[in-house]
Amino acid sequence: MSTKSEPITNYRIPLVGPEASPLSWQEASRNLIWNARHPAGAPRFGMVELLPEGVVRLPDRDRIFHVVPAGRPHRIEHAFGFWRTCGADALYVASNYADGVVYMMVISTSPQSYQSDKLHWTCLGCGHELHALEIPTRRVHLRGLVERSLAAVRAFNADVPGRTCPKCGAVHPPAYGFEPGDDDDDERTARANW
Amino acid sequence: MMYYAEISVPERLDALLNDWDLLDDRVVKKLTTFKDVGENVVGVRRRMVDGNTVFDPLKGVLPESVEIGPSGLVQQTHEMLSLRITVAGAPHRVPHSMGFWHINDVDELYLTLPPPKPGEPAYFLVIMGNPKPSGNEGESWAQYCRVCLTMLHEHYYKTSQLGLDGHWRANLAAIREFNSDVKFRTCPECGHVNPLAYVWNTAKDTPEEALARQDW
Repeated sequence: MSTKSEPITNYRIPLVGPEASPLSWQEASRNLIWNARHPAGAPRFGMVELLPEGVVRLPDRDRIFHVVPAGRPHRIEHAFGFWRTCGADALYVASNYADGVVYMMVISTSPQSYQSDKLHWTCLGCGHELHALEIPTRRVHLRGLVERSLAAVRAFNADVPGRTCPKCGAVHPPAYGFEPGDDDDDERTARANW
Repeated sequence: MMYYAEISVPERLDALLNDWDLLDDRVVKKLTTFKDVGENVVGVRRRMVDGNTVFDPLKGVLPESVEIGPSGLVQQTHEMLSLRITVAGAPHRVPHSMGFWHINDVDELYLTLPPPKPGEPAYFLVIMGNPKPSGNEGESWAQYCRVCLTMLHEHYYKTSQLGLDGHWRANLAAIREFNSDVKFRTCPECGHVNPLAYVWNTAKDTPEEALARQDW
């Protein structure tokens, strides 16, 4: 039996309130959308980018709309448990609102140049790269990106020698994936820590 | 343990990151229409928002935007902090602001952020893909009969190859062509004579187009 359905021509994605998605990420048309909220007074997420000169942190502002260019490693502390290098521009918005702070990241999957995401970890002591992997996002879509990144996180966490910096000896703390709802106890602790 | 070797700067280094905050007062002024920002085209409007009512300083109260979906007209409500996506290919317009139906080959995203303080204008963000010169994407400005939604007129603009700069001029030419002859405005299906069209920029309105803007 077949059913009749109409094409979707528009999306409405509430970022706050009871209708906001419990998931951090969703895919809508040709867009990957990340969203989070903090209640008023809670510590804000930090957004950092890895440049040849070092790590640059976005300053806290009441509202900000920033573009992370394709190919630049970045992470949202306590949300992305790794450096992510996306094959497309990532548009980041953070804004105060009546009940706290709301965050959003939008990545268009339209550019053909967006084929993959690279995830990597660097030593928190000296910056030496410890481990990296590439996920073919264009082929596996959001679901594959989230699943494969979590699998990579768990493999990284299980590999203490791999998390130990060969240059300075610092042991990288356990990592965590994109979705807080997927965290096990150790990952939940790690997410709270870094 | 130190977390990272960080560069500490009071402002982001412009040499590294030009226009790093698109909502910064000195930057947002450049975005009142649209600007290429990497792989996207971005516009930021400052508008008064009261509940679901949006007030544009030049155009007055802007009603809900409208799309033509498979089952007819679909109203889109303005909502603070709710991301809206008009999917590529869906004809859409904002009454009294766009006197045509815009059909874009790329998705359009809209997000309204709260104002800095109550009583100040909110931030209305418009984001859409920036077609590459090597691509095949464009957009069109169409007219549909108000009574039966039959397409009356369409002008296609290949944004990927002609660029954003020529967009406004081509839009104006399309509107003026439609307005130039009543035959374009007369529906071949139901015979209804449709009103004049108008562009987004009120400064381009002829007196007749300004009247049409008030009407629809």
